[in-house]
Formats: sequence, C-alpha cells, structure tokens
Amino acid sequence: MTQLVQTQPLGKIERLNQIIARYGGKVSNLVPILQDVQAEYRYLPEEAMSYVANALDISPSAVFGVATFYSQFTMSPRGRYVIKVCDGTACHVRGSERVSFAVREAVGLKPDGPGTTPDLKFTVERVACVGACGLAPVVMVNDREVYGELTPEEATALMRRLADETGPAPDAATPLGGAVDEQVSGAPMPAVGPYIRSRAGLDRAMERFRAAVIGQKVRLLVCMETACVANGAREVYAALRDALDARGLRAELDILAERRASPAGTVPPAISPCGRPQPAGPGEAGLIKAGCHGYCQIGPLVVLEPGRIVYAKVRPEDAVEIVAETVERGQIVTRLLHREPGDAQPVLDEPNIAFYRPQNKIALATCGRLDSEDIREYLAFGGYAALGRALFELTPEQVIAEVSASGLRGRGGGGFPTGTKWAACRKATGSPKYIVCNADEGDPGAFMDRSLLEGDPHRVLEGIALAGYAVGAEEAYVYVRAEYPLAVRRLRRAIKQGVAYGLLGERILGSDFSLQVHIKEGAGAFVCGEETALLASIEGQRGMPRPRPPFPATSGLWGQPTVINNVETLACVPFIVHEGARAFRQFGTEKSPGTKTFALAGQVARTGLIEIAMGTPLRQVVFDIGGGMRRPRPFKAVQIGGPSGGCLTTQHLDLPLDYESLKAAGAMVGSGGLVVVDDGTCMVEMARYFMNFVQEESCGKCVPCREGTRRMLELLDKMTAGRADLGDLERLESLATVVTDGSLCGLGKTASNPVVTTLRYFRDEYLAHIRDKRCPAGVCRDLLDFRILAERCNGCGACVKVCATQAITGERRQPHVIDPARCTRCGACVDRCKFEAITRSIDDGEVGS
Amino acid sequence: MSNPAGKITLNGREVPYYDGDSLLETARRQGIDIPSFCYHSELSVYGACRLCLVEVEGRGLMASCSTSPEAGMAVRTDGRRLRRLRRTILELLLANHRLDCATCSKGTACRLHELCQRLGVRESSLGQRQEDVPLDQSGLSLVRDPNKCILCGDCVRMCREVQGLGVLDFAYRGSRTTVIPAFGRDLAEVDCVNCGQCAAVCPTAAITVRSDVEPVWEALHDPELVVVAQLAPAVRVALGEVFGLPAGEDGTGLVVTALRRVGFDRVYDTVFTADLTTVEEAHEFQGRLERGGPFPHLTSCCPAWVKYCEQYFPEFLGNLSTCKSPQQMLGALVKKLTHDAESPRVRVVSIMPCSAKKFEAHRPEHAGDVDWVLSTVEAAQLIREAGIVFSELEPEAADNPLGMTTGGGVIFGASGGVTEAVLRVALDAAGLPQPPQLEFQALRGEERVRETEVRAGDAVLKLAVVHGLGAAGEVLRGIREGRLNYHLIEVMACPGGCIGGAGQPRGNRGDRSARQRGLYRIDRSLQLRIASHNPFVRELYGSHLGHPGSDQAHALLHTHYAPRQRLVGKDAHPILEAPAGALSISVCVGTGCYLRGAHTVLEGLLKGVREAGLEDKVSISATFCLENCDRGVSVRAGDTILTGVAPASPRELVRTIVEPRLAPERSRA
Repeated sequence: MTQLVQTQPLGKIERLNQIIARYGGKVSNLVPILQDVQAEYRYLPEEAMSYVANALDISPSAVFGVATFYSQFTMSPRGRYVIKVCDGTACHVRGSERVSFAVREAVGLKPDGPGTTPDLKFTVERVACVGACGLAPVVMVNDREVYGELTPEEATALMRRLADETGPAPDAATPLGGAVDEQVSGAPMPAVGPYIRSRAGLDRAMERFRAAVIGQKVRLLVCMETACVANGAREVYAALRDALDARGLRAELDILAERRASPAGTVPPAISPCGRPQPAGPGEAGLIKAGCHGYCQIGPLVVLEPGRIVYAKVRPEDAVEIVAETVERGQIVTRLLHREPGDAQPVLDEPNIAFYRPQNKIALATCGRLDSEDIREYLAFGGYAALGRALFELTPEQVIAEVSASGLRGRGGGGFPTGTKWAACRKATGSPKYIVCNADEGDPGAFMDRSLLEGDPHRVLEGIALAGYAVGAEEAYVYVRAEYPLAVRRLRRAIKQGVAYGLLGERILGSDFSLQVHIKEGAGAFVCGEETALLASIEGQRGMPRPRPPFPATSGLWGQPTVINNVETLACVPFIVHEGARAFRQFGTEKSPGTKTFALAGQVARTGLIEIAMGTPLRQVVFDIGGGMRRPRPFKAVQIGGPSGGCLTTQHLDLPLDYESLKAAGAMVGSGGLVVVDDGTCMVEMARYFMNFVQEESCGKCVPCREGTRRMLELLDKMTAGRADLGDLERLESLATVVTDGSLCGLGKTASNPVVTTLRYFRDEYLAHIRDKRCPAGVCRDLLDFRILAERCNGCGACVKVCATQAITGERRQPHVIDPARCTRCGACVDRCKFEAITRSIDDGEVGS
Repeated sequence: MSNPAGKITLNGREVPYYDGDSLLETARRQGIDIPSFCYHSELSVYGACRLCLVEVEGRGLMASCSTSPEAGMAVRTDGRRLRRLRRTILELLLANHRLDCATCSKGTACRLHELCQRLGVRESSLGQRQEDVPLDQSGLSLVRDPNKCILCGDCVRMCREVQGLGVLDFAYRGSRTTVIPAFGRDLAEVDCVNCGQCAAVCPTAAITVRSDVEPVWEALHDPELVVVAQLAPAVRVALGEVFGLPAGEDGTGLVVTALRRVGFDRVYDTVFTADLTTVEEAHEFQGRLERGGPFPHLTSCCPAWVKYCEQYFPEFLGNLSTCKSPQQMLGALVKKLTHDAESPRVRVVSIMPCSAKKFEAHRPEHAGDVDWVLSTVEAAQLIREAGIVFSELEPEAADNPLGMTTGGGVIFGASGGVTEAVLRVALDAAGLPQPPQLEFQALRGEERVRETEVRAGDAVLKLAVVHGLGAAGEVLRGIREGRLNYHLIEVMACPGGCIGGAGQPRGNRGDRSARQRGLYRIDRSLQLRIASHNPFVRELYGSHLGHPGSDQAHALLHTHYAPRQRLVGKDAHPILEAPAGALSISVCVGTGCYLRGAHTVLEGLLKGVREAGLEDKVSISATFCLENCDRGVSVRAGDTILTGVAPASPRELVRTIVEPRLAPERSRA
C-alpha cells in the first residue's frame, strides 16, 4: 500500500501539506482535514489518508476509523453529480422511496447496487434529512441545488436533464445560495481594531443602525432559506434587485446610517408590525436576503415591512410590478397575497394568516426579518443588548440566576434545566472551560436549528457569549452538521463580523470577558447529536459516546468543564437576559416555560417552521396552524421527536405539548420534528423506518444498541413482509426493553420509542401484519397485490407510462393487466389512475388510493 | 491498601470502598464478580458491553465499570431486570457470532462461552450470523477471525494504550462496525509487531496466536528427522497452569519429560543461550563503555521490540545490541555447530511464551535456524493430544550441553532480567562487588519504566527497564529530544516481560506476578547464577568461539537490523533509475522534511549526480517519511539514514552524500 509518491504527483503532496498546515497539523482537526482532502480528490484515497496519519502522528487505522465512521466520507471516487435523495421522515411519508427508485432507474443504477454509475457521472445516495421537510420529497444535487415536491416522473426528467448537460463539472463545494449570495456585501469590516469598544459604543451603534433601518421606507424581505431557494427565491431576489437598481431605489444601509439623525427611543416604523410600506424614493427601499419565514410551502416568500405583508409564491416576473406598485407607490399587489386554502379572499399580512396567528416567537423573533449576513441589522433590532447588559450590569452568577429563574430547559431533547447545567459548570474546577453549541440537528424531519443558524446566527452567537460569560469559558465551539453548508457559511461570516465589531473575541465591548468562537463541521453521523459523541467528534475521533458520569459539565471537551447547549436553547437566552425570566415565563407552562420551535411536516395542509408556547395543544398545531390534512383522508397520528420520539394519536389531540405530557404519553419533545400522518401511513412500516434509521446511525459501540436494533429491525422487516409470527412480537417487545435499559447513550436508550408507542397505540395494525398478513394502510409492498379492475379500466394507458418496469400491458381502450412478476409494487400507477381502477390488496379492493 | 473512602450498600450489605475504585472493582473486592467483557484493569474504561450494569437506587441502571461509588449509594448487582438484560446481551452476541465452539481454537478459554454457561443462557433465538468473513491468516504470528469478534475493543485499547501502536482500530459504524487494521488491510501488511497482546486480551477467538502444531506433529512422526526442542525461560512457570499447576510453579523438569514423551529427540533449554546472550551482550556493552557509546545500549532479545524499533525509531538501530535473541542463538548453534553433521535432518522447535518469536524465526537473516515456534499453549496442546497425564510425570533434566542453565538466563523471562543478568556478568568480569544475593531489586517490579543507577567501579551506569512498547516509545522520544539519557535500556514488549507473552495461558496481573516470582525462585535455587559461569558456555568459547565478541561469535551469534517503513509497500518513487547494484539514495519528502527544503535537496542531488556523470551508479528516489521528522531533511543513502541534511549546492550534496558511499574505484575515478 501507500506508495504515495509513486501514485501521486508531487504537486498533490504539496496540496496535502497545505491542507494539513491550514489546520495547524492538529489531531483534533482530523475531520476538517479529511473533508478538505475529499474536496480535493472527490474521495479519500488510501495514500492521502496514510499521508495525513503520518503528518498528524497518529496511526493510519485511527484515520481509517474516523473516515469510515462518518457517512460524508467515501473511499471510492464519486460521480460528477452527487444526487442525495432525502429520506427524512417527511420525505418518507410523502413517497421518497419512489423518487429514489426513479432516480436510480433513470441513471441506470440497480435499486440496491452500488451508488455510482460506471462512467462516474452520477452518484446516488440516500440522505437522512436535508432539512427541507416542507417541500418533501426532495433531492439535493451536489450539496447545492434542492429540488422539492418531486414526483417520480419529475425526478426522472431531472436526471435526464443532468445527463445531457455538458461543460465543466459543477463545483460541489459551492454552497447553497449560489451566485446571488456572493454579491451581498454584508457588514463593512472596520480596518483596525473592534468597531465597538464600550457599552456606550454599543448603544450608539444600535441607535445608528436602527436609524438606518428607519430610513428605509419599505423593506423587501426575500426568504432565502433552503425551501424558498428550491422554489426559486434566488431568481426572485435577482429580479427584484435589478428592478430596484434600474430605478436607483435600493438602500445602502451604511450610507443611511451615516446620514440620518436618530430619534432616540423610537421603534423604527420599518420594523414595527403596524404601519404600511410608504412610497420609497431613491435609496430608500431595502432589499434583504432574509432567513426562514416558516411557511415554506407558499414560497418563494417576500415579506414587506412595515406591516409584515406577505407576498406568496412570487415569481421573478413579478419583480417589476412589485417595484412599481409597492415600492414606488406604496400599493399592495393583491394578486400576490396569500389565500388560505378554500378561501378566495386574499389575506394581507402575517397576523391574519392562519399559519402564523397562534404562534409566539422568542427564538425566531427576528428570524426572517433581517439580513442574517449583516450584523448591523441584528444590532438595529436590539441585538447584543442582552450581552451588553450582562457584561456591565450583571455578575455571572446573576446571569445564571436569571436563566435558572426562567425555567429554560434544553430544547435539544433532554429537557435538562439550562441554569442547573451552567451552575454546575461554573462551580466545576478546571480551566479552561468550554461552551459547545450543539447544532448537529440530525433528526430526520427537523430543521429548526438550521433555520435559526441561517436566518439569525447572531442571536445564537449572543446566546453563546452569554453562556460563556456565565460559566467563565473563553472558548466556544459550534458543532454544525455536515448537511448544512449554508448555515456554516452564514455562521462563519457572523463570527467574523462579531469579532470585528467587538462583540466576540478579545475583551468584548472593552470588558475583561473574551470569547473565541470556533466552528466544527460534522461529517454525517446522527449519533454526534449525543453530547459525549459530539465531544469525541470535536476532538477528531470517531463519534462514539462514552459513559456518563462524569458529565460534561465537570469533564467534557478535552476533559475540561463544558456546557453543551442546543441552538434553540441558546437562542432563547438573549431574550431571557434582556427581558427577564418573568417575560419568558409568560409563555408556556409552569414546568415547561417559554416557547418551542417545531418543524411541521408530513401529510398536513400547511408545513413549515413554527414557534409556539409550550403546552399548546396538539390539535391547535395540526388543525389551526397546519390547517388539517393535506389529502382528504383522516388524521391518524403525529410522529414527534424523530427517531427518539414516539407517536401521538387522535386520543392525544388535546394533549399539551410540553416535556412532562409528552413523556407520559411515551413520546418526547426531542428536537422538535413533528410529522403528521394520515391513514395512508402504515405505523408498522413507520416503526420499521425509524428502526432502520437508528440502526444505520448507531455508532456500534454498545451491544444493546448495535445488536439489539439490528435484530429489532429484522423482526420489523419480517412483520412488514408478512413473515412474522406472534413469537416475533414478543421478541420485539422484549428487545425493546433491553435496548432501552442497556444502551450506553441517549440514542440507544430512546431507539425503541417509535416501536413502543406504535405498539401501544396501534397494536391492531401489528396484529394485522402478523396474523392476517395484511397491511391496513396499503403500504407494505409484500402484503400488496396490484390489480386492475377491468370494469373500471378504460385503457387510457396513463399507468403504462408511469410504470418503471413495464409491468402493465394492454390494448388501447381495452382493460389493462399487471404482470405480478414484473410489478415492483411501487404504487405509481395507483397514484396516476384517475378512475380508481387499480387496487392494492389481496382480499379487498377497499384500500385503493 | 489505604483507608476506605466511605461505605456503600451492596446487595443489602454495607461495604467499604476505596478511592479510585469503580463499583465493579468495589464489588470484586467483596467477592462479587460482576460479568463483563470490556472491563480490563490495565486499560481505559470503555463501557460498551453493558454486562456490568448494576441497579443503583434512585438512579436506575448504571455501568459499574464506569461509575464511582459515592457514600450511601445503594447498589444491587443482581435482580430480574438485570438478569434478563445480561442474558439478552449474551444472546445478542451469540446471534452475531460464528458458533463453531466444538472446533474453535479458543476452546473453553472463551469468555463468551464461560459467561453463557455462567449466566445460564440456554438458547439463542435472536438470529444467526449470516456473513462469513474470510480469516486474516496473512501474519506469521497471529490470525484474525472477524466472525468471532464481539467488538469489546480490548485489543484496540491494548494496542493503542499499552503498546502505543494503534494497529487495530474500529472501522465503520453500527452493525457494520468491525475491528480491523488500517484500510481493511491484512495484519502482515501493516505495522503490527506481532506482540500478540491483542490476542492475549481477546475474550474470544477473534484474534489468536497462529498454530504450528500440525507441522510439528508431522516432523515428530517422520522417523528420518531429528527433532530438537528448546524451552524458553518463561514457559517453565506457566505451562503447568494448563494442567492445573498454580501459576509460577517451576515446571521445568515436567515439561522436559513431557516433551520427550511427545517424541522430541533432544530437549534443550533456551536458558543456555540466554546465558550465552548475556555473555556476548555484556561484552558488547563493556566495549561501548570503553569506546564511549553508542548509548543507550538497547537490548535485542524481544522480537516485537526489535521490529518496533526498526519501524518507528530507525535512528536507534545502531544502538540495538547486535546479539541474536536466545532462541536464534540456540537455533544457530544446533544447526551450524552441535548438529552440524546431521543438519539437513535436524528440525528445531522452539517453545516460547511469545507470538512474535514465530515472526522472528522467519526473518530472512535467521532463515532455517529455527523451524517452528510453538507457544506455551500450543506445547500444552501437543502434550494433551499425546495423552500424557502431566500431573503423573517425573521431572527430568534437559539434554546437555545446550541444557545447562544459570539463574542469569532464567530471569530473562521477567522484565528486568536481561539487565540484571548482564550486570552480574559485567561486574563479575570487572571484579567489582555484586549486590546482596546477586539481586538488583530496583530492576524488578511492575512499573512500566524502572530506572536505576549502578556504581561500577568509578563509573555510574544509568539503566532503564521498560516493558510495554508505548512506554518504550515514550522513553525513546525522551532520548531523541534530549530529555533522557541512559547507558542501557532493556525493552520487553509484553507486560511483565515474557511471562506476560501472548503465547502464555490466559493470565491476569496476579498470574503474571506469580510467574515472575517463580522465575526469581528458580534463579535463587540454582547453584550458578552468573551466566558467564555456565560451564558449557565456557566450553563453547574454548572449543569453538574463542572469546566473547570474536569473529566466530559474531558470525554465529550476532545479527543486523534494517529500517522498516511504517507503511508497507515499495517506499520510493524512482526519479533517476540506475542498474541493480547502484547506490540507492532516497530523499524523504514527508511533511517535516518537505517544510525544511526536501525538494531543494532532491533537485540538487539530481542535478549534481547528472553533472558528475554518475547516472549509472546512483539511483535517486523520493520516499515517504523516514521517521526523523524533527531532524530536518532525511536522506537514505545505501544502508544509512542521514538526518539534518541541509539544502546545499549540487556539487556539495554529491560530495557529502554520494561520493563517500560509492565503490572506491569509482570515487577515485
């Protein structure tokens, strides 16, 4: 092996040396080093891994161990187009499997063969979740373009289009957001030293930027989050920019800030919820690349401030009219307003849109309302005021006391009281101490953390700074999952700005408090959301959890006292410190105060990112915010908390969503994925889906999780295939207990939850699969038999066209037949048939679509 | 033992606990053996097998290996929930384990087997292993059978934490997790030094010492052959354990008898050549003292250590004693001296506590001297298979002359023994006083690194005894960086030295110290304890070798070493190729050297060699790391590694690097 210099030109060694040098030759940077090496070669050649091992003075087996642990790394060359078919929960219940089938078929890959075509044109991979659940099912091309709401036919067409494309290979490293992103300036960087050096300086800066925002007669907030971008937000932004520039209307924040005086203490009209856009003159219209607005489904979204007027499904062609009517004349373009389903009347603004009405926003308060790449906007909205207050008015103990009094609990799943954690870390002996922000949002069906990091990174950073001040840490790490390249980029920019503005880094605001914030990118491992695994990953090792105690608060990163908080938890902190614990407690319940964000997805009419008071009843979420079912089929269940959570059913519709109530029901808040399913979803299959996920993401360390989940998956496979007996059900339940009791970390301890809750609430469905070999929802393929009812078939041939395996034949205008030997039971024909002529079941025709 | 740190309630009984103990250790002190696979007192806590879970009142189930007792804690080590958990865990492991227990080489020594029996697991209903991964039989010393691996990670931690190597590590994740050398390579292709400590800690047969029993039987059954056995020092205090003797009991005579019954034509004692090694090495050391170096003098009897040094510290190869190991000396003596006449018919079988000896016997420079190496356990297998009832044997003496032993050679089997034996000889030769009872207590013990100073006349000798390669690496780095210096360092790869070798019956720390005490007891019981007093050793010098260090002695008893790349494969990228036999020069272009101008050196050499018209006499290549990264650009010219080569003019480079090493007629021309 390792004839590095034989197989690689010396120039490549030079590249490797540069990469290693860039990361200081530190073992803790092994993951980013390998990421860069992979970017260079498009895979990890053995020689390069050996070289890295040698340079870092670790054994090659350790490098190999890390490289094979994270799913981002690949040991064989990948194709020109890397197609990631999302199989997150939302995509799964909306038919991602068929999309995957179609994609593979279209590029000539077998359904279960290797993922790269022999000509190295395509690599097709399954990915746990790209966080675009509102647009399910989605595929991502080269980590850059997201294509949403795909039908199998559209997926096939997309592949054909890519196959025909020639020219230089697209750069997989270019992050989401693309060309338009690059043109947005962001905040100007001061040439020397931090821009703000004192509390008074902070107040002055906030005042100046607030004034600058006031100067904008209208602000056009174009949502540039993944879902809206997938729907064409980038093009809308470009069109608006061109239209504004053609008339010289676009505002430059900086110039305004210098020019205008500030009426002290007033809330800028441009950011007040009341009021209406005013006609804007030259240089008075703000065009902002904003973060997630939540209501992904009606994107691309353009929100107008003041007034929070919502233009839905905006097309680039609308730009000229928006500029002419709204910007120049202050008039609303009625045809762009959102209409509630089944309601012809347009709805003017956010407060009147059913999706937004019941929500309360703390963590997401300014998400989607400002340019997340410009620190001045966050300052204009009062950002970093909490940090200023803490540094100059409060002792660290007082900050902890305030957070404790607020009752804030970990939003990442565990629900551990944040104040208690901080206090333990503050008390712990050992220096240095660390803050770790857990942004490894791996739950399929959850994208809250990503939206926050992309839409309002400074709020999270302010939370991190407050945590650092409270516990006495001088270094912080943000661990972001690999699938979020845009979040990483925004965060990196935000940190740079924070340091330049004196709000992070050395001697913040001239105080004695310093905090260096680093970003660590994950590399594709769900288990790294577990705190001890996350620490191992930051240290450059395989992300394997270790037993607790000792807890990270006393012995965490490199054995030092460490606070690990999730993104949303930290995003709540500035509000608490600034507004006080009581203000926080006005939302939520006694034991679960505050608000919680959820990613609402699945078979619900309205999907997106929401933030509601803790304790809001499930019914309100599903039916008021979500607008009920998407298809004319009854509500069946919600899966909450992802693979660690459980399902809730009709009997839980009045259950308040808070830590205790959910736990009692066998589910958990988890990170906040909330996937609604109707009766077209098989609960056994869904349990199998989650078990498959956990099984693939298990780190493999402890026996109960590694072996137990594998055997549970085998049993569930047997059930959905109609090969199980009642003894298998018993074994499944017994294993569920052992996996829960015995597993080393939270991933394993909660891995059985989906099985346990579906067994509890849908036992009949299990029995139907086991005893009757029947899938009541008509989902489990092996239990289905597709037939065409001759009396309903008029021989239109639509089904023939969608059948990927040519299983359907028949004369034109004559009843067709399905060849069971060729039929893959994908169900495409059923969806396509307008005459309900195709049935799925052996014994009865009732379960047709 | 210090005072208890407090008390906990264990299964309803109040018991003391001590600082630093886990709940598992606390329970073991109380005579409760909580089952576990991945807990190992000498390795870091891993917490993966979950068998050691106990019920802590108010906190639920916790892993006892990783939980510290706290005053007032109420702990139950058993109960319905725990029993179900433990049984299911074992069943889960069985479901993924190749169940060929009747023919498995591990036999009943398998911990999975033992725990299933102990915990009453009577069925495995959770599945059957489907995969059939091929065995890794590439190595001469060890065999890996991934189908038997339970992923407890004991081997991974042993290799990394104790041996400082990290040859094995986990790869992949979830149910695809496997323990494997880098890039899924075979053991023979990576930097494994064959110490076999992975096999020693493996609870199942996932890593075992390669068996050579079959060819040995074949040889024993061949009437044409003269089959000779040699018995290593550490074997005598451990082989009996297989047959129920307590660890450390002297089984020398019994093993000799048993081997004769098995069919060996001669039974010799490796202690004889340990004595010979001592004499040669003492002479060599004496010579270095007189010449002023090179120091530290490094011992060379441990083959795993020698390979380690070749791989990782090639700059210290000149410090290694050139003495062959006792095994190879005996092989050489038999084949080339004592049985010279019948040499084609002689077969030498070593019985060693060690897996690396199997590799050593196959090193090309020793080829043919030792035919097969059996581990202690394999030798016991031979005896058992022959139906010999070990407990009913009468002890016999080994065959002379190669069976004569002194105490100095016997203690080679324990870490520190080589040094002690050498010192006895050196002091004796110089007529200097010996310590009381000839015992150097400071060299004995269990600490990984033991250092002492010995006054030898006017000189004060700084000595270090190291066991475990991780510790050895630390010491060598200290020397490299100038933090440490010694006159002599003894290194043994295995914990406790050869008594803790991978070929020994499974043993814990207690067994190891019993074996160690056993060797020292034998030493004390022998009349002769200074190796140079061995009459047959003296006779050997008188009749054949002349004196220690003579040319004859060198030809027969000494060897040489060569740097081994950490990474296997042809290491160099030929840039200027010359006919075979040309001087080969490789310039390291590893990170460290690259940054110090390796490319300038490389280009300069190329230019200089071309200008001097030496293209047909010198081949030049770029190589990948010569392991001297901290010393500037490294260049290997022929057999020598030059470090700290500074970029210079092409002419200068040729003058300093190339010319001195060219054949004389050419450099003159």
